[in-house]
Parts: sequence; C-alpha cells; structure tokens
Amino acid sequence: MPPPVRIEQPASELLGRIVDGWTVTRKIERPHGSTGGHFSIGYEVESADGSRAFLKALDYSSAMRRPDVAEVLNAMTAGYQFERKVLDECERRRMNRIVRVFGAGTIVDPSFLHAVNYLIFEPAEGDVRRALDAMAHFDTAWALSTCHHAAVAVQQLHLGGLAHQDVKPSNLLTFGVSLAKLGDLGRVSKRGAEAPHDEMPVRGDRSYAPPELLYGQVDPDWTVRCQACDLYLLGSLILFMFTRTQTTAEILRRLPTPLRPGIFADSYDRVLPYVINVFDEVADAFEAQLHGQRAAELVDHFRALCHPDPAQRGDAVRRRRGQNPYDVQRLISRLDVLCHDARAGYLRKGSP
Amino acid sequence: MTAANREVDRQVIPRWRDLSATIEHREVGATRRLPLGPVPAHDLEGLTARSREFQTHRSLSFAADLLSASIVVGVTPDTRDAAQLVVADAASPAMLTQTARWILRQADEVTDATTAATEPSDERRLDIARLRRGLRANPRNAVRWAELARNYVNEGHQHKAESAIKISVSMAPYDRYILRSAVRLWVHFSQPQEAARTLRHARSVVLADPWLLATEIAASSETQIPSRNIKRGREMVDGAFHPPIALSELTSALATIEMQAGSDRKARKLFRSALVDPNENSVAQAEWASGRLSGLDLGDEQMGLSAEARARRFADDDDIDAALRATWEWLADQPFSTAPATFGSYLASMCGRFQDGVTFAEAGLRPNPRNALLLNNLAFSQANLGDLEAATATLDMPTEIEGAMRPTLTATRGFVAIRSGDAERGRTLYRQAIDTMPTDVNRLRAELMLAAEEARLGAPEGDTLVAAVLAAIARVSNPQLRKWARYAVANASTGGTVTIRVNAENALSETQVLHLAKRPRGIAE
Repeated sequence: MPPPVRIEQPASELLGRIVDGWTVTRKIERPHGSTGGHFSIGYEVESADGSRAFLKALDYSSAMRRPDVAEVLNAMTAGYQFERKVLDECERRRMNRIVRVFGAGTIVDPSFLHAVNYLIFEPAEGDVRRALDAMAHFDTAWALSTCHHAAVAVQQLHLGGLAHQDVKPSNLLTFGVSLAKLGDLGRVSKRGAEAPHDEMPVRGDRSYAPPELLYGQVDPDWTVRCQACDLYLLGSLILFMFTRTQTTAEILRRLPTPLRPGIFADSYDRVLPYVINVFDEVADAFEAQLHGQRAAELVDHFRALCHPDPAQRGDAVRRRRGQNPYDVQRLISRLDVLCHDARAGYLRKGSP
Repeated sequence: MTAANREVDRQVIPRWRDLSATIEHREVGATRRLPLGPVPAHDLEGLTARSREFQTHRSLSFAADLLSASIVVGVTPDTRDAAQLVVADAASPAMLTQTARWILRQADEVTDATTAATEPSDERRLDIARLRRGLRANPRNAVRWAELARNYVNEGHQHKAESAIKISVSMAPYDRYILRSAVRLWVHFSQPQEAARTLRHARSVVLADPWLLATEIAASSETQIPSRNIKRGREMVDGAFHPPIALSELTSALATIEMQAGSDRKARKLFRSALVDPNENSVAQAEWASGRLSGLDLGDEQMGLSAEARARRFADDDDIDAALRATWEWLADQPFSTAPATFGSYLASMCGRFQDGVTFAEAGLRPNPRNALLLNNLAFSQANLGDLEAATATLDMPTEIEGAMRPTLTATRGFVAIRSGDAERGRTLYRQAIDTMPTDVNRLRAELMLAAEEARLGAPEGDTLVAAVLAAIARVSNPQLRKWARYAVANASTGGTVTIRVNAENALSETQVLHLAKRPRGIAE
C-alpha cells in the first residue's frame, strides 16, 4: 500500500478548516502589513456567531526552499514564540491601540507534512495606505487623528518596556473611520530581554529605518536605540500621511552620493551635519505643503520626532529636565489639539 | 592700476563653495569609499513585497511606498511605472511628485548607482532670508550656518559672517567642510591667525585628513609662523594611503613651500604628483607656479578643471577675450574673493577694455566695498572712460588702505587730476606716489603712466620721458611689467594720439623695440 500523500505546504491549505473555533473562509492575498510576510499566509476566519478575524499562518515550507533553511526556520520559530509573548503582554496590559490577538496555537494534522503555527488577530479593514487612497478629498483631521492613535500605540508599548521598531503605514491598520491600531509586532524589542532579531542593526523595514541605523550606529542604550527609532518612525508616518513620502527616502535622495550609507566609509558622527542639513530641507518641503496657523507646529513635531541625531530627537523640554525625551505623552496631547484645530480649519494640506 | 598676473604669492587656501558644488569638486566625503556590497536578502524580500503590493493596487499610496523603498533599498522593474503613475496623477502631493520626477530623472540619466547625481545645485541654493528662516526652525544645522556665513561674505557683511561661521564651527568642530569654510573666511578677512586657531582644537582630525592638513599648512603660510605639520604632510604624501584626489591640495601646498624655498626640483616633482588627480584649486596653484617654475606643463584636461588657471594662461597668451571669459567664470565660482575681480579689472583695463574693468571692479566691490585695490582699479577705468566725476567719487570712498596701496591710490588720483584738466596737481600727486612706491615695478608703472599722460598733453618732454621709462622697463627682468608697458603704449595709440606710439617706439633701442613690437591680440590698430 503506497504511503498516504501528505500536504507539503500545509499553511496554504487551511481553507475550510476549523482552527481554534474559527472557520477559515478566505485566503487573503497578502496579510495586512507584516515584515517577513513572505513567510506567512493570511486568511479570513469566521466564528460561529458570525464575527470575523484574521489568521496568520506561518509557512515553514517556504523556508525549506531556502539554502539557509536551518537559520530561517530557527528565526521563524523564535520569532513566532517571541511575537506570541509580546502579544500576550500587550493583552495583559490592555494596550488598546495595538491590534488584539484572539488566539494562537499549532495545527497538527496527520495529512500535513509539518505542523502549522498560527496567530488570530482582530480583523482590520486595511492599512492607512488603502484608507488614504479611498478618500476623495484629503481629511486633515482624520490624518492627525490616525497619527494620534499611532502615537498612543507607541506610548503604550514604551510604557510596557517594548519598542515596536517597525512603525510604518502598512502596519497601521484601520478599523472603521475613527480607529487605527498598530499591528505586526514581529520586530518588537523588549527592554532587558533578548529578541530573536536583536542582532540585526536594522530590525524593521530598512526603507523606513532611521539614518543612524543605516550608517551602522547602534547605540548600546536600549532607550536610545529602540525608543528613539520608534519616534523617528512615528515622525515618518506623519510625513507619509500628509505627503505620501517618508523621511528616510527623502533624506537619502537629497544626500549627495559620496555621503550615502553604504558608501560613506566613516562614522555617523562625521556625516551627521550633512544628514541634518538635508533633513532640514525635507522639513522645509513638508512645511510648504501645509497651510494654516498650526502648520508650523505640526512641522516642529515632525522635526523633533525625526531629528537625525538620536541624542537630539524627541521632547527637548523633557531632555532639558533630565527626563526621558522619547516619551510621547506631550505629543499625543498636541496631536489631539491639532486634530481639533484642523476641524476648525487652522491646519490643512494643499493650496492656501 | 595694479595686481598683475602672478605678481602676488598664491597659497592653497581652500575654495569656498556651497555644499553641493564642493561635493561636485570631490572635496567632501570620506577620503576612502566603501565598495558597494550586495543588498541583504531580507531587504530585497521587503522590496519585492512592495512591488507586488503596487502591482495589486496600482494606487498612489502603494506607488509611493514602492518609490520610497526603491530609493533606500534599490530600484525594481516596477519603480519607473510607479513613478509615472504618481506624476500622471493630479491628486499626487507635490512632495511625492518631486520624488517621482527625481526617480525618473535618475532612471533616464544614471546607470551606475555610485555616480548618481545630486540635484542641480541651483535648486539647492538658498538665499539669506530662507537660510535664516530655516535656522529659526532648527538652529542646530552647522552646514546651514556655514552657508549663511558664505552668503553674508558674498554680500559683504563681515561681522554677521564671522558670527555665523563661529556658530557653525562650534556645532561641527571636526567637520572638514565647515573647518575649511571657516579658514577661507578668516583668510578672506585677513585674519590668518584666527584661521590657524580654528584648526588648532581639531588637531587629531587635521593630522589624519589630508584636506585639512593642506588647509592648515596653507593657512599657516599666510601667518608669520610656518606650520609645524609639514613633516606630517610629507609623510602622508609619501605614504600614499589616501587617493590622489585627497592628497592633491596637500601636495600642492608642500610644492609651494619647496618652490618658495628655492627647491625647484622638489617643487616640480610635487606639483606633478599633485596633478595626477587634481582638484580645481591644485590646478590653479600649479598654473600659477608654472609662471615661476619651468617644466611644469598642464594639459587641456587639467586646465579644463580650473577657470583661474585658464584665466592666467589665456592672459599670458594675450587671448584677452578668453582670459576675461575665464575670469568671469572664476569670479562666479568665488564671488566673495577679491582675487578674480582684481585680476579681471586689471587685465581688462590693461587691454583698454575699460567698461569690462568697471564691471569686474564693481562685482568685486559688492562683497568687498572697502577694498582699496578694487576701488583704485575702478577709478582708473572710470577715468579712462571719461567719467571723471565717478572716478573722483570712487577714490573718495572709505577704504581699508594698507601701507603699500597708498602710493598706488595717490598715483591714480594724479591720473584723474590730469584727465580732469588739473595737470599740475596731477604731476605733484604722481611725483609723491613715485617717490613712495615700495617696489621698482610699481614705480616704473607710475612713471610710464605719467610720461604717457605728459605726451598725451603734448608736453615737449613727453616723448623723451616715455622713451626713458620704456628703456628702464626693458632693463628690468619682469615679463609682466613689459607686457603692461606694451599694452600701455598700444592703448595710447588707440586713444588717437598716434604720435606717442611712433615717438615712443622711435625712442627705443633696437633690442627694446623687439620686446615691445609684438602687438597684443584684441587691440585695434
């Protein structure tokens, strides 16, 4: 009798199965924002009461095709375990601007070549990119409110000793018009704990990474290395919401070739004056896109969040007082005020 | 009128341009470059994911995301498509459209990522108001402070420029561009001690960076205290650890020291080494030195790098139009510097191009309103154009007169007085000037001018005087002075007083006539 045929890529064969009480109803082309999404497959799942969720299944078989299979498998499993722990921590701390996890576990099936790890998340409508594209007219108040939610998410993580490291438009998920949450905690770093990706100088998406990391300057202090990175990414998100550009790309395209990362063969300190100079050009260009009495304030927040020098980044007042400058509580309050001001017409994008 | 080609000593003081132009001249950046390595696999996977998302959605945000990733990580086959979508979409935010256009420009023009061009420098130049506004928003931008200082220097605001450069240096005390800018500023304001002081605190950086070491040696040459780092400079040049472009200025500075010490052979060897892969300043230095050092030939390619070098070469060759064009280019490159304006106003006036002389002098006076030499040259050209009122007003303007300049200004006052009809006062002033001229060359120049004016006035002894001065000039071994005399005679002839030329040339011996007979190009018969 021939041995039974086993499914070689089980993560992509979950349609119709019941996982953790959820029925897998539809495969999603790409999971909403996930670094390393090429190693996971997304599904829409439905519970008995009709509520929906998103299931992310880890595709170990895709790793099998890699020449560095052991390394990739190790990274995937370690990453999965770490993300689960972090999500549990977020649940425990009631971080309401972080995408909630409804379940996690392992599907073991005799017909599968190997087991499949999964995570079930609350379902998002999409990410902010889709929401922006769907708008007939840009809504400044909505953009600011979304940035506000992202800032709250970052603050919640930071207060829990976590840093997201991969804040970007594709990871900011929308839930209706008035709510946005931060997803994909796959690159989170935890103060005092080792994460599987800690060895990588750039943990999140390189195309959004702050310049100091692109030049290989990794600060030994976790707060400077990780929280300052989150602030930069938050600032870059603000820029994206208003201009669809992002800070790192705008800096690099203005930076003369000999000074670009990967070419400049000296320390970050040496190139910093030039990075600051082009960053100011980016901030000036951003300011030129905005109008209204509050435009300058928003650009000031952007300047503080994305300052190329991590030692100058963040809240200058808190720094002067000897407090953690990467605390974004004040920014959260100001974004809230700006959101109200935008509704009153004191801040808008486009022609004056 | 004074300041002839190569009469003034030249040091390899760094040029001062805006950052983009300085980078184009390859003077900024690490002295070594990293070879471009492969893009890490996980970054490529992220980029592929962005491409796939763009293919699925084909909308503005996804196109924008792909464009950003392409700038940072690398271009994909979909990048151009995404850029075109952005440019075509009227709803694209202006900043995104600019980025998309930039990507399209790069895709059209650049094939090698290592030589990707920067934006055209004109787009990057900022005026004082914009720089100040930007610095209000972020005062901790050392490059902008330096750029503000450069703009202030160009506008002649010395104190504001000094404050701005001090702030810049305090923010980036070890940065090559900032330090070289500061040195250039202090030398421009005739404070070489301050220039040397600026570099003192950054000693460790200076000793490791050939660009800064060259600056330190050149700046010290401007003071009375020679650099203590010449030996270190020689070691660096001999070690050849840095690429030739990085060593170019340092080698030129050392060559200049050797030349001034009379070691022509060593100087020649060093200059040749500096010209292996030179920057603009090194070419200019070598061309200047070639007037004093035989066997130092610069090729067309090297000359093409430096407007100053071309200006000097064309002036030597009596190709006046080309020399003046190159001088304009030199002045546009270093608008604050008195050197191109002085050179241009002198050359133009010497050749009877007095209107050009006025324009050069005025351009130089904008950033240097009290420069006595430029005021002198302006007044001389104005007087020759018949605008005696303007010439008098120019000479009455407040100046910073150094001792050596005083007799020159007195001579020009004499010239203006004679042209104004007060010949007696003119003669007196000329005599005063001639008696106090610090060098024979200047004295002979003034004597020839006075003699030519006497001849022009029809004074009986005029022709004899001219002949005597020309004879004296012929005895002095100074090609620049002889050239000047030749043009002076030619100018006199174009003024309609043919007699002067005939008589002057008749008064010379046969040998002396040989020196003067070569008619300069561009001078009308």
